[in-house]
Amino acid sequence: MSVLRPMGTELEYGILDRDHPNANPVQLSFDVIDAVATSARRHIRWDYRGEDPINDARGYHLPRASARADMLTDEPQRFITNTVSDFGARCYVDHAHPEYSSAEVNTPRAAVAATMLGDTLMLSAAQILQTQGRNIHLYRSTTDGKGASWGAHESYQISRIVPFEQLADLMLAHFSSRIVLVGAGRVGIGERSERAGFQISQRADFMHAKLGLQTTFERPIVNTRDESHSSSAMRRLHVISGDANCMPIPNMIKLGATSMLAWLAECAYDPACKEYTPAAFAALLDGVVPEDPVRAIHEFSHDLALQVKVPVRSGQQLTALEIQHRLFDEVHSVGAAVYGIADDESENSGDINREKQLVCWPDQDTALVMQLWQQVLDDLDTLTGISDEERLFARDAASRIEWLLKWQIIERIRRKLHTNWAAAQCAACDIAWGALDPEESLYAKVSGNVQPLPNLDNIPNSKAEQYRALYTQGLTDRARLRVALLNKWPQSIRALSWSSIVVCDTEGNIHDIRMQTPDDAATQRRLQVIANSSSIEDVLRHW
Amino acid sequence: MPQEQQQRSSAQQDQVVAQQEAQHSQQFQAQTQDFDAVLDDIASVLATNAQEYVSSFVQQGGE
Repeated sequence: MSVLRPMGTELEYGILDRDHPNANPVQLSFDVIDAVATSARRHIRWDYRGEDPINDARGYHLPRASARADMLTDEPQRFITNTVSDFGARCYVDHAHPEYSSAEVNTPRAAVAATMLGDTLMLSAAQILQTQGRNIHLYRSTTDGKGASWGAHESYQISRIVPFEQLADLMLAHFSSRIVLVGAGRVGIGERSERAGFQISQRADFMHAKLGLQTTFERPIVNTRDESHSSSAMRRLHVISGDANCMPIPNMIKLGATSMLAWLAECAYDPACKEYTPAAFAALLDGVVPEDPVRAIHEFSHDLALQVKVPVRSGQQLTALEIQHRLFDEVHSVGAAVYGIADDESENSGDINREKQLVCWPDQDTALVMQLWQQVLDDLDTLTGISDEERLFARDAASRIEWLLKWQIIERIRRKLHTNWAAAQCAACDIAWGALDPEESLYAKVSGNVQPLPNLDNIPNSKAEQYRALYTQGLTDRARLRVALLNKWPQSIRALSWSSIVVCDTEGNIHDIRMQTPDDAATQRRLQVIANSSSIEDVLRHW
Repeated sequence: MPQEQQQRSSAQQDQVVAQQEAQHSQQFQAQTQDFDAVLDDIASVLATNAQEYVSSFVQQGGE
């Protein structure tokens, strides 16, 4: 394995009716999801049978009677309505926000494209409503700065050979420290912006526990929801601590570095992997897991100079950047041992930005993730301990680091207006940063200074076809089959989930197609069956 | 060619492509134009309606 594994993202959007700011956000969200739906697929329901939001990875099942009502997201009548896009994404109302959940893909680059496609879809829904005289605006963010937070989640398939306790420790170290690389930046410190200022992460102040099932209160850095949507040999790491990034490189590093660390943990516990051991992994954890990860994520987020140190289990005091260097170095050295070092015939051996030694990573996505991860670590080294004046002109690093670019823009506007961080103008910039409407979006206005990913346009809400091609290339087998059926026989599909398709034939008989794992050896044949079918019965007969 | 060698050779080809992609990324030059005009525009809009814009953006919590 490598960076390649089934993964996906979910994003709840901020929502506002600018003509009626007090309008019920749940109804607004229903209106948006209804505008996403098309007549061909409006009848398709979500199949909740595979969901179990109160199954805990720590080895127990929370009794339903003990769960807070908003944890029971598998009871659709309470909160959720659904529609499925023609490219296999699920759009629904979750609590008081419209949510977009991408289909499973196998590469971080496809996952970045998938999340950008979500913006395109949601913006088109807002524009449809605009033609009906509505003035609904959507925001790619995770807090209003007034005490409310909502989610930008990631999911990764990972083997159950890794004990959950060790996986959780690794991710406590990673999620509390990765914010310096991939934080989206936020105006205000404290959940309700009790203190004026700017911090690195949107989500950090809303983290109050190390581990837990819950996602809407006392939010944990590591979510323990155990619902694999796959075989019993796999688990799904469901991540709720991340920010909603607009920039492509932070999105790529967020998805890619987390996937590489999942690979590292799998290497440690895979008996076939002789190059890494549980003992070596335990030693790494000892040197990177903060004694108090909740305090760590708060303190790291509030320190733009990147100098705050926290105690880790070994007793050492480390900065977030030092923790990230240790994690990167471990992945790099295990990668070198597993895959070997490329023959170094390149003439850039004097280039200090080049990866130390080029590992023969087995695929391009992995090589690119490792290159970008190292590049941004190098960028952050140059930012450590510098003054505001110096940080303001770190243009090159800001093309890859979202919190830095956002800070630079707002700081310059703040200086032009001769105001302070408590001013409404600063908060307004923060809100406008993630607006989907290109006229309103502050990010869109400065995106010419944002470094794109190769083959992925950095301008939001444009080049949808390019996103779509990249996304389609990265789809898992079962997602490919789901998309093919959605496009060929939408009227026959009654309900969908990540692992099932419920189909009704022309005589009214119901058929339950199960696709337990994302990989399906029969995919090519089944795609052909779908393409050649002249009725849904043809598909069912030859499936 | 033995299979192992083929795999290694293919991995090195991937590495070359990734290096080219990385170089493409490094060659990216941020727009050199000064932001001042853009920032002036934003600042002038904000000077008049920021308070109302911020006050209206009140969300309910989510996941």
